[in-house]
Amino acid sequence: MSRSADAQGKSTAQPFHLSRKRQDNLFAAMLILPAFVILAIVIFAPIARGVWMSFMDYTLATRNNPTWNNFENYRKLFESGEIFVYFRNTIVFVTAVVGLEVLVGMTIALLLNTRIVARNVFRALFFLPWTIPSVVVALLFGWMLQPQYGVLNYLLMQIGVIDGPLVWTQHPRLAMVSIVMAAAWRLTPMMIVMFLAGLQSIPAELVEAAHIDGANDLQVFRRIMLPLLTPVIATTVLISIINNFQQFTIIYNLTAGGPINKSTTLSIATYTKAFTQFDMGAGSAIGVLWLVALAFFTLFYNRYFEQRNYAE
Amino acid sequence: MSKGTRRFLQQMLIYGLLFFFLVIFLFPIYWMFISSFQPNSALIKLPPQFWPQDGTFQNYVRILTTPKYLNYYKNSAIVALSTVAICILVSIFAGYAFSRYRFPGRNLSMSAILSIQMFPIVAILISLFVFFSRMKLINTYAGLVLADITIALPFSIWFLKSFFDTILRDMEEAAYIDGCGRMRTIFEIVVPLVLPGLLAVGIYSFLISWDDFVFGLTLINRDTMRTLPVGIAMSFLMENEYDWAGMMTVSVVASLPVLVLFIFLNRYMVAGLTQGGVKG
Repeated sequence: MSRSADAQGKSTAQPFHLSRKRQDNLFAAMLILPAFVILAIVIFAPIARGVWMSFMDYTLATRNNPTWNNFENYRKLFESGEIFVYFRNTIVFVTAVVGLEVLVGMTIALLLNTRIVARNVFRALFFLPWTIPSVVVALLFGWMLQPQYGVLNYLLMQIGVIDGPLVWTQHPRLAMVSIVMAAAWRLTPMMIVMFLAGLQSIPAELVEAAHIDGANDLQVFRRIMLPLLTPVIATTVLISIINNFQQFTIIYNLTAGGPINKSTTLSIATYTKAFTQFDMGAGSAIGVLWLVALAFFTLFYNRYFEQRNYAE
Repeated sequence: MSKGTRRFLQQMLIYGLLFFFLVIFLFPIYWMFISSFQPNSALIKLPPQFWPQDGTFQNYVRILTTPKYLNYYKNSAIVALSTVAICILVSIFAGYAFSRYRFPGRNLSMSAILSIQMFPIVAILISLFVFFSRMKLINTYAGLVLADITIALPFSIWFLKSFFDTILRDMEEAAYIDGCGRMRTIFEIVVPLVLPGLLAVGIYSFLISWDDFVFGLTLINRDTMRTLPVGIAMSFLMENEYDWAGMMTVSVVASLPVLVLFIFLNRYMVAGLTQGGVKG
């Protein structure tokens, strides 16, 4: 068989022209197959099934014989107002965590971007919280926030901010604060690293030129750095929003969604509806609503940032 | 105020703020460690000791001689290492295919895989559970590995694809002309050139698997098969609720593999993150 080939690997010997390309495509398909099989089993099939299950009455009582019940699951979720509570809690959680991450992350990144010694050591140290497993973060914060023996209550009482111990994880308001603190603690390092990388990619000449022209540091930040960082910030914020939307481990193990749904986000709700209350139909319905909301959000987010890019 | 003094004060302010934030970020880790070196009797004393007065290893001895926890550790290790191995293999194949071949549906499948990245797993947890039940994958290592790989795949494939993209095809052309088969070309010629990429993918998939809680909670309900995160959550949030010393000790032990990885390979971890879309 003659083995002559041009730069694209296409056979230049006429009789083999078609089969080489087909061979390539077949080989490529084979290479991708394992990935697709895995994804089909774990993602695609369950999505389809999940949508289907959301229209069924599938509870402990009917588990051997689930019956179709149209939009009944959805109706109940909206009527009881639960779904709004879950969405609201999720949005509050995500906004608080991402907001904290961005503010603190940018501050620290800016500090690290100055002329300091051993920047890499600092950066490595700031990165540590991200390496702690989520479960450990939940248990650790649970211990620090423990009402009688936890160190946070002790410190706050010593400083005089509070009079008596607070029950952080079971307090209607503070439960949300607890999970926000824990989640932000673990995830801010990622922001710091990303923002620092972005800041370091800004040419020093630009900043110097601006200083020479008389701009002070704040103006340099607002007019030069921020616009250049917008892509990095936008991407990182989107990733963080999506990740935090799904946060389960820290919430489940720190407050378990309590007290009474005060810190129940969509992920906790989906899980407890299905596995604690044994209402798989309703749980699937929450999941479907979540997916739909996410799809819309991603669509609008991308469209918004694309438009901004065109405008510039 | 002279310029030198201003500069000095600025530097002091910067270092001051940095140390302030550093304390906030590192204090919990510090607290975890020193709590693990004190017995429960010391931990329930107020005021809390900021440096253990009677430091002791007894918690470590206790935890490390309890078969239950060692078993959880073993299960997590098996699942994590399997995840790493299979994920690297599958993403080499797929990454190479996306990088080297233009086939119908290429862009569509690339987008589909990347969009999985954003996918809320908990939303399909229920149907996944039912599905895996039917396929007899509940309480198996295989089921858990499959699930963990799925989370790690999108980034791994995308990352390796970018790596392959940077490698010139000359070597592969030469190999082809010399009669080397496609598979052999991949493994003997191209893969050795992307070893740093493989390392990053390996670390990434290990982190995903080691950290996993949701799948471990849902897909495993037999205690002997439990992974570490779920095992310690169940143990210390239910029966051993007041064993804070033990809880912190187990926490340290559970964090160790990742901390060790970090100390030696932190450059790769950070590099992986700054490349783009990552599941934190």
